[in-house]
Amino acid sequence: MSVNLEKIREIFADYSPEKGNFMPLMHEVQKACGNWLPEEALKEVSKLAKMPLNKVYGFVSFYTMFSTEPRGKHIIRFCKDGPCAVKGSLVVAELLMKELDVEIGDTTEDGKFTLEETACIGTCTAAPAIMIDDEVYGNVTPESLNSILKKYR
Amino acid sequence: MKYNTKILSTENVLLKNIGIIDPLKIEEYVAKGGYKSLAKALKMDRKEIIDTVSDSGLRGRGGANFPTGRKWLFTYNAKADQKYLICNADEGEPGTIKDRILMEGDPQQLIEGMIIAAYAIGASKGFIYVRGEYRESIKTLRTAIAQAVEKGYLGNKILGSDFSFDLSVAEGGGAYVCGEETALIDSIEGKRGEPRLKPPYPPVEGLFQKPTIVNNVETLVNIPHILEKGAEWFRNIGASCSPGTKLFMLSGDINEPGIVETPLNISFTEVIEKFGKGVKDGEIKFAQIGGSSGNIFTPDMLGKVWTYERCCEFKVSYGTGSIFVCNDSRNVVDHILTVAEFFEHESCGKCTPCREGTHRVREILEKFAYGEGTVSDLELLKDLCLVMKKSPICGLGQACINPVLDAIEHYKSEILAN
Amino acid sequence: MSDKVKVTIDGILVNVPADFTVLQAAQLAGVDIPTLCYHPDLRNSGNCRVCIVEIEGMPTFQPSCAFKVWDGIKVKTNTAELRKARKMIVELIASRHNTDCLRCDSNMNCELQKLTDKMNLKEIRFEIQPDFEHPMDHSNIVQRDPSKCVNCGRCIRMCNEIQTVNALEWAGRGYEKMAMTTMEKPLAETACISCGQCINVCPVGALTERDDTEKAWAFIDDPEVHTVVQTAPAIRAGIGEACGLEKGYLSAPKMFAAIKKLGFDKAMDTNFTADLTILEEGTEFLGRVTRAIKDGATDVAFPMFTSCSPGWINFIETYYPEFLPNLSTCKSPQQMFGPLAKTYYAEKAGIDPSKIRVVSIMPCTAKKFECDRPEMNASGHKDVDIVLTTREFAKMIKTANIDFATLPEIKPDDPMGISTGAADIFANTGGVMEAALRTVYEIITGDALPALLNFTPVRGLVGIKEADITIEKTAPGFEWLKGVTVKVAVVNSTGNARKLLDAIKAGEKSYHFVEVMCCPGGCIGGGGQAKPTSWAIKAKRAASIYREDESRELRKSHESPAVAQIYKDFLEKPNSHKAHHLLHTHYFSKAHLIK
Repeated sequence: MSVNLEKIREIFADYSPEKGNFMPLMHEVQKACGNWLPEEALKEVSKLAKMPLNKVYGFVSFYTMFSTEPRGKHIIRFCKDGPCAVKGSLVVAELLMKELDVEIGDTTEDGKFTLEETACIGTCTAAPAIMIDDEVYGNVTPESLNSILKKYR
Repeated sequence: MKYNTKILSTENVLLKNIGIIDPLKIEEYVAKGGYKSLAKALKMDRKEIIDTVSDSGLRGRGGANFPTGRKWLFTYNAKADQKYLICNADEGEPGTIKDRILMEGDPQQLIEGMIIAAYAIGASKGFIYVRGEYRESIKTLRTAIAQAVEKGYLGNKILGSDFSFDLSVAEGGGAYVCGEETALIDSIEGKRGEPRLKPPYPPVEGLFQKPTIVNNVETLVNIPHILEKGAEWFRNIGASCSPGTKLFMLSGDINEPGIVETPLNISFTEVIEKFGKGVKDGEIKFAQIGGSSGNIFTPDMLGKVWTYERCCEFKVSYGTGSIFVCNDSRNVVDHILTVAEFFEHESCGKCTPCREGTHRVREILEKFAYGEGTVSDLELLKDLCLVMKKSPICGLGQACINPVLDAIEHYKSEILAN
Repeated sequence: MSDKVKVTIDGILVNVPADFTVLQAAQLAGVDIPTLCYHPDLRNSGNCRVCIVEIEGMPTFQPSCAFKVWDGIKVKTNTAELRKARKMIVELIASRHNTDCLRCDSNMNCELQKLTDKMNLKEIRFEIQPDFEHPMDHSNIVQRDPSKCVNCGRCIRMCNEIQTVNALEWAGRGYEKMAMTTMEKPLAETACISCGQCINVCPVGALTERDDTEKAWAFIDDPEVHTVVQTAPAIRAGIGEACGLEKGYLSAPKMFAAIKKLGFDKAMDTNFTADLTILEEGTEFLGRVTRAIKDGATDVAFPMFTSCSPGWINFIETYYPEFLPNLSTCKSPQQMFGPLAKTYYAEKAGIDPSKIRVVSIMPCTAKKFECDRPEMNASGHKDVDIVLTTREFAKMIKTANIDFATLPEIKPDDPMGISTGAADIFANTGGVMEAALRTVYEIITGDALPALLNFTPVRGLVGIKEADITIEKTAPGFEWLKGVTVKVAVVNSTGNARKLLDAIKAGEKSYHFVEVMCCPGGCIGGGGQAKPTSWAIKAKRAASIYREDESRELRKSHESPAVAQIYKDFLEKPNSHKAHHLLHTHYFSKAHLIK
């Protein structure tokens, strides 16, 4: 999929350092590129933001929500930290791996889902929790998992 | 929210609107008395507001417990052409959900608190830095801000006064370390979120090198209430030396997980029993208070009342207020290994003791988890943790070893038995 | 009268300026604190935590390199707790380091070795895990070995903040964080200009230059081949230091002796072509001035930029290709020497040029890039075969068991060994400008250049200086220059060059002639010089160069008899057709590297 440079220019037209909006705009650029940031996109951002490319790459490689490798249409994140771990988040992860036939950190063959670990997502009283794209699902059970996935399949 | 968060307490101040009003309808907040405090504040002298907050005894609710009024005074006194107010909503401490609840359930309460704070310190620009994973909070806040601007509570010449305040939502990108105020500031500036050396401190030199106040969400939502009911009212809640209510969150082996608002003159055992309806599936073994960098409290310790002063005396902290309960089926080593994995992943990597230390702590604990740890491994682990307590640049490195040191102190035999 | 504050370090009371760091105060108090990421020429980063100290009243340890003192501050640098912490920190760094010291370029000159020795580190209790995942990068002159990186960040600070080349940066987070190239590409695919400043500040052997010493030995050992060595002006004040003698040790005669003792056939001197460059470039400059002022042409490219610094050439080709027409078309002295060795000298000596190997000894790493440029073949062969840095030269001297200090003093070989003091000062920032003016000023006015030229720092631009020279008296034929103010500037480090170019682009500044040196301090601060380096050390080297110039009988390039000879016998006159073919060049945009 080729990078839509016009869309990136549109997004970054709103950029200014004083607005402190580099990060939000990068999230938008990533979304526009299909959940990842190709080199071409980073080069365009470097030009538009007048930020040297090494700094753009350094920025992107620091934050876990960004990826410079292609990812799927939907990002599934499962929390592996304390409160979720004791409530069976690893069981949920294993179920997801089996159901989608994918390893943690990888994308399904059909390019639909990428499965990632995430740090605590603030749903600890409704553990275990997962995120799919922008949606948070709490109290996930093997039973509820199927109906959740159905919405995206 | 596609799940239910139970509010376990009933006499609430900060949580009183949650689940009652529609967060996306500003009129409902106003109907409940919202923005009256702002109107009152704008007629007050700015120093008077700061004095009120100081007199109230409010301490920062993000975990550091610094007196809020005193912090505001630094920035109030600083001479600069631009000052900033930042709300730290990078809630990343495992077990902590309070800021999300507040932002998604009652966003105008936070916004009102921020406007008052900004007016007091002299900040004309503000940001709410919300962690990147909190997509719903981000959307809710942006909508709420737009509504507040429309109604004249935000923006130019607020409510006909001379005060203008421009507020926007900044986003995180998935880095717990950005909860550290200087890392957060660098993140807003479009840089890697690596903490700065302090001093200089943000109230003097922060965002874009200008005086900046960084306050936690929970700290700021207290402000409208303090302005409304006065410093003395706040002072009289709970223990006089750590006044006001605190939000606690019960998770783990608890019958009723949820959020609790309570004054601090209560023991954790009481919170667990009274609000959480007791430990689930067994007896209490330990609880980690304040998130993954929080202390491990033995049943003995949980039975005590932990005011801020007592915490200082015993060198522990209740941090963000998360109460992660573990029953007697849980293994301490498994838990602190999970914690160690978290910190290894979240260390920013800037300084040697944290970058290398978090990795090595996890390595050694893994040995114990697989039953291969030795006495000399434990000694090395303790030495490493003691170095990490004092050498890293920021609180992440300094505090991440607290649970490990606590476990070594209270559960040494269990660790070695592994 | 600066504000002074009272600082107590380990019980020793000192009065220091109020803006001092604890480390600076400790130095005054005679207390040594070990450091790693600290470098006197770079912004204080305080990230390695080796220099941590205990400050009374602060609950955690603080980095002394970056912590500012206050009046009455009390510091302890060597408590039991601190010793333990420091040792553990060094142990942690060592556990991520490739401890294959025996085969490392920095063996015996390594700051990590010094630290482990200082801490008396006898065991590393963690599994040794160097970064073998990221590949070694041998794509360019500057070479990287990630398994040796200690994450100090000096190279990043140098590349981004001083040189503003932006080829290096942190990538990743936590344990995976490393000093990386842009987009983690090989350096040859980045904006890297091969200036080697990163190598100069690397405390260990993670960054080195391509080693060409084996090629040099092969030339020496090959009986079929005739080796001609040229040495940069900076070498005579750099090689002694690199051989372990005092900083700024000066000896051109011993330098020539070392070359002969190593087995090279001829020891000539880049200084010769430095003088030649002045004639060529001075003539070129006067040509532009004539066209613009006498003839009234409006398309003359001003300012004219000097072109002897290949790191600077790489920089302008990459970042400011629109200014390529402004560059002098003169090759650098190194690249003028090469073709002349294989034509002029070859003819004179009756040697087959295909059997000549020109070995150039330079304080510079970018010179290796320069000699490899495909267009540098005006002689019909590769004009300069290999370049050795000061460090490589010192290594060969060591390998050959030569004691530099006790070498005899000999003269350079003819016909390209004679030079003037104007050539010597090429090594210093401002030297090329002064050398050029010594000749051009005399040509225009008939008078010698005044001893003290009034250079003032450019306001708001540190590291850049400028001067206005108003022509009052004129020599015959230059009357049209009377009353004209010639504006010149001198710049060192590409970071400052960027500032100047931006100011010129914005119309804020304009000049006729600008000298640009890629490296901070000029060539004496080159990326191939002895390590460690600092402004204090560079000042010593620069002072030696000026001393050398002052000791000379001939100090103006146009007075060099060797230069007169080559024009008479071979080149005819400056900027002649033959001179153009052999001694001038053109440039190419490298802007694609940053697109």
